[in-house]
Amino acid sequence: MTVLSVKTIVGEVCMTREDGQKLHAHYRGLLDAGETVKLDFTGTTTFVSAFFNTAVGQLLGAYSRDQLKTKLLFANVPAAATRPLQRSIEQAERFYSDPKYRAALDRVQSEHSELV
Amino acid sequence: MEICHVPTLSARSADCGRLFDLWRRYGREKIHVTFDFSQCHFLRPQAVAFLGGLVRLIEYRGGSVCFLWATLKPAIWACLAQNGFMQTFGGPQGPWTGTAVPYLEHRRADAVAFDHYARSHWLGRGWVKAHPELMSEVVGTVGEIYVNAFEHAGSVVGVHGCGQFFPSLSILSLTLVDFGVGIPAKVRRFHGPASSEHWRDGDRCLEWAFARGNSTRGGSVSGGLGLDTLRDFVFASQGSLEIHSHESRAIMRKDRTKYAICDDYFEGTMITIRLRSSPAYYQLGSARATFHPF
Repeated sequence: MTVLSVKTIVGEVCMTREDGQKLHAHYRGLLDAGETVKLDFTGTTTFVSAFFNTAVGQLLGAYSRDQLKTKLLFANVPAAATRPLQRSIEQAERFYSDPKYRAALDRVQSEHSELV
Repeated sequence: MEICHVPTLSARSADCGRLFDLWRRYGREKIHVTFDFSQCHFLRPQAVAFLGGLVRLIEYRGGSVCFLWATLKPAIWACLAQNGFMQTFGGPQGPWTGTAVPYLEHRRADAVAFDHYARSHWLGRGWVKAHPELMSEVVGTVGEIYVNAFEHAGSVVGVHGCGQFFPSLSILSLTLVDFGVGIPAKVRRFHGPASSEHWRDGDRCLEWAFARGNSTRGGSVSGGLGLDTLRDFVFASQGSLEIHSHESRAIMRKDRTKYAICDDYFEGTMITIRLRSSPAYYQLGSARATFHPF
């Protein structure tokens, strides 16, 4: 099992999708290779669901919840992280299981890209 | 150079209309404007955040803004100086520590800077005597608004904020404003043109955006707006949440939530969160040595 310090990889503040992606990139290869990964949140303080969407939520596109229960573990999770993390997983499950919902979100994203 | 007589901008809904009227008149095209405060007798923190964003929007559109600082009434001078707004826009006096939560403007997302702002200048001033874990939860909850403004709204001038502690009311407020596309526009795009009639009213769009599990954040990665998280927190803390976006307004308290259509229009989103300063109101979860979110 590989243990990764979230604080070492992204710092104390876990808010943005970019930082979430950074964490995801650190462990995704290990996970795909069949290794068990433990994310240790010791020393982290601030959490926003956008961070967990990229750090964790996108895994639901390739793995089931049951698979992830034993492959991706979480340690020393601050109380402030539990709700955004759980919401992010719920949202991801809907996103990857409902094609109509995913298509609607992709439509918003493409129009957003044209605006900015 | 056009003269703008900044009106009194208090918490009354009519004053909110005046605030958005400034955006309609000066925020949509290239204009050179002078802000005259001689007719302004009160300026709430919401208005300070909004005015700051409006100035940056005018500048973004190629215009310019001049402040007639000498026209400020003494109390408003003190407000704008203390919260740093005056210094930010080249005024004569710098900020000092008081009950004001400093004026904030972030053109681009800076999570670490926002975290520092929220902890050191808003919650960490001793007005809310909360457990550090709880403080983290509140900062993260407000961080949802901050991140949404950048990732979701597409605001060309970023996010602007300001707040205030009201000792006599034991209320700590913080307003964040963005000048992006607004929540109703995103919700209508999500549902597509086939249902445009159903989503015509902005209050219905706001209600949808605050329902659990609904999000318009797209792309290859799933999104959760976090607005429902924010609402749940406000309910739990006996505070209130006020949202203005386009012609719609939502005021949320534990005992009642009201969505409404207003005569005013502002193409962006302004969110004000008000917290009770008594820690007895809060419920705190606990840290987990091991946690199984799946």
